[in-house]
Amino acid sequence: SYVPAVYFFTNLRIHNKPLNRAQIINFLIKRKVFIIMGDDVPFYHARHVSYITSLASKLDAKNSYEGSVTEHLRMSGVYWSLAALSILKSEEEVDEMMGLNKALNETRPSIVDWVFMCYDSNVGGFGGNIGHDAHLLYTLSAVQILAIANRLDDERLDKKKVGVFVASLQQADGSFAGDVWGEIDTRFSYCALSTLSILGLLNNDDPMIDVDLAAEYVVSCRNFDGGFGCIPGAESHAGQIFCCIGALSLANALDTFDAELLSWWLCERQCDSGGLNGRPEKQADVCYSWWILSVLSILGRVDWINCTKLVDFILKCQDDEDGGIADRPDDMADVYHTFFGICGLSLMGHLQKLESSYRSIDPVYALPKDVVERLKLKSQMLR
Amino acid sequence: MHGYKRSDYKARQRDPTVSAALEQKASQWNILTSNLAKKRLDGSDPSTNKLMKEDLQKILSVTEKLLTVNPDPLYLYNHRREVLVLLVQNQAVHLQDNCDPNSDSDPNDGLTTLFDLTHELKVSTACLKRNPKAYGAWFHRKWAIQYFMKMSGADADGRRHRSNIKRVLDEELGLCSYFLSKDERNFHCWNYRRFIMSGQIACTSRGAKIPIADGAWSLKNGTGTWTGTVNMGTQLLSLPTQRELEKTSRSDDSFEECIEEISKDIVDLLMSEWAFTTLKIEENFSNYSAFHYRSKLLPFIYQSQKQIKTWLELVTEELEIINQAIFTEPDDQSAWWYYRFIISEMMKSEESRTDESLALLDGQCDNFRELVEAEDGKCKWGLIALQTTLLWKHETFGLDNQSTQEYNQILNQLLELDPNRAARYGQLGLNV
Repeated sequence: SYVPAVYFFTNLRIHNKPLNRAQIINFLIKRKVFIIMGDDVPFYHARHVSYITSLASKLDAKNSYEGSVTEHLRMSGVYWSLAALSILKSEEEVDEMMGLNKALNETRPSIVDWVFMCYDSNVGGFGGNIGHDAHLLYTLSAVQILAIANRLDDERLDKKKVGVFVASLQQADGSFAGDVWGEIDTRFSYCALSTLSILGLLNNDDPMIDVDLAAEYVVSCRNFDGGFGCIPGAESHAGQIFCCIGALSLANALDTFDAELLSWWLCERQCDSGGLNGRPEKQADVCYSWWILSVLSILGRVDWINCTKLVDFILKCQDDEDGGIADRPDDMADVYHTFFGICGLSLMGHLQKLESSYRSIDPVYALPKDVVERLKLKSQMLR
Repeated sequence: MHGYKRSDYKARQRDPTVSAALEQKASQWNILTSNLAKKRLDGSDPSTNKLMKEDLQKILSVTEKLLTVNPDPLYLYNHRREVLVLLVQNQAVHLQDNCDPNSDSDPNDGLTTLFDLTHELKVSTACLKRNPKAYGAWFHRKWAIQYFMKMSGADADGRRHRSNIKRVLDEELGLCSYFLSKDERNFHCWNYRRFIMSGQIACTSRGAKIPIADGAWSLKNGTGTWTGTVNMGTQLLSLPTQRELEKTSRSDDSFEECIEEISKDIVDLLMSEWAFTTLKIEENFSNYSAFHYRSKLLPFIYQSQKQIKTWLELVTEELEIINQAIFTEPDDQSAWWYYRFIISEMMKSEESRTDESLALLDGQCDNFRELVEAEDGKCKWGLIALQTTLLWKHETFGLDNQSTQEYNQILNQLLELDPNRAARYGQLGLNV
């Protein structure tokens, strides 16, 4: 059939330029290769790998516009690219291709070294880039990178100090501020719990935070539709729902809400296009393939959506020329949607069907499952 | 990049004029941010304190320039706030040293003129016009207002201060209206509106006096004898239901007591918010955000009208709005989710096993049947609502054979209409 032939030829290059699907068909037709046309869109593995590995030099280029616009969230961007590549490649390959533990060349430090350059030792947290203020968002991303790199025992990482920073941000009502300035959001509840768990500071005898109170606050963000928002009273949103359910899973508190009602609301996010939206009457976006699918995985109801149609939607969002995945078909790709699109495909088992060596993503920690197992990280699953 | 057409974006990237202009912008950004970083390092050691007042003003003007171009970096707002606070603190010391104890003027007056709230709100507005969903810009507003309130002695019983703040808050409601008119579903804006309401509540004669982190206000009664397990403001929307209060052993601050203690000013404010949601829903039945806010106000409305309206009467009123919405826009989910909420709350209470509530359920079933027929059977949400209502009826009153058959038939219709969600429909069979 047609699909295996295209898959085989996906890495074909002419004059060192990779061919897109239409060009491959032409190539085969000219050579009188018999083709049965099918609708299956391939997963452009090689293109995505080259997209991810070429990001750093693109963004670090002097006066890169994209680089400057996104420099404040670089820590998260690095995590998305590393974690995405980790699904596609082995630990050793990721290490080598990304310069994770050892610098690729003299122009740039290793990723791990760069992460520690973003550490504020006075405060105990990590910023989004060198010299940027410590914040829970980037502290989690930093710790996730170190987990993937297997460098949580690096002498520069003062786990207790980071734990104290995280704990200092918990408020009297159990909520978490993102930093000392006091913005409250359930995203930060998730960041706090996950950071502490990865550092081995969550499930021990001397908890640094009030876990039950943290869960109580998250529960106070429950809404009439079964969903959760960023603060009490805020509207349900799939991204916030992931953070809340992730937090409750880490806090062992999955019995505090109506899982069936939430699963129903989440499965109604699937649009006619097959893609998922974040809340009613909004457009489908590839990133919800992660935010929603991970929650449905935790709640044991992934089958409540049509996975075949979602897979098709994600595959259609790929850039078949330069690699990467976009928010919706024909849009420009970015590393955030590339990561979450790959995660969605992984959670639905689509990649593993193509090739058994693909690694799996953990729905609570958003880390490769083998990393979660190596670190013996715990989380609660409903089913 | 999020939301850009690939072919357009790549074409622009390949255009040498465009890419040169973008490089120029990046270069300016990089120069300004690295200078700023250097100044921050210089200013971080109080013993050396190389920064003069002019430097601090320069930081304010540069952060304003940077943020209005790219309102997303949180650290830039932080840097700005550090300087604002430093300027106020420096002058406060100066004022205190020069304060005349015999003067009638309020020393706090000097402080508030040092913190230009209006300007900070203006900066935030410019940021929001650039990106109406910038978390940092919305937070900066909240921070600025709280800082102003703290400084203007909001915890003193100063009427003049309260009226100043009230004026600001009224203007902020105008800003909310503006941004909601651009995007009715902007949840940042709705959250901010609730923050403003909590500020309004704090300004009432019996409201809270001290703002807490991120707009969580705590209500104190007039004599200050209880500190409110009921949080108003952004927490207003987690008013516990009567049921939840009975579950906990907080008998000394029951819900009724809380409501009785709440002054008429506050009741009026919340009623006006209720009316605001009615207006928004009538303007556009597809306003999920308005229905959501309504769901939060509902317990309060019920409690405050308990003497004059039963729960059933309130539900009946809500059903009027719901039925209007679903008959106008049957494919829009908003009213359907609100319907599910209203009836499920009704069915949880002990008053649900009555003839009146049975009649209500039956009446709604007839409405849904009518709607489904009008849509030639192709009304997914009508069918789901009918199925859900029959299920409630089954659980409380039982279903006769005809209704059971109808229920099963509906499930089959849904499987045909909405095959994506077959797995969920598959587990909705009645346990006969």
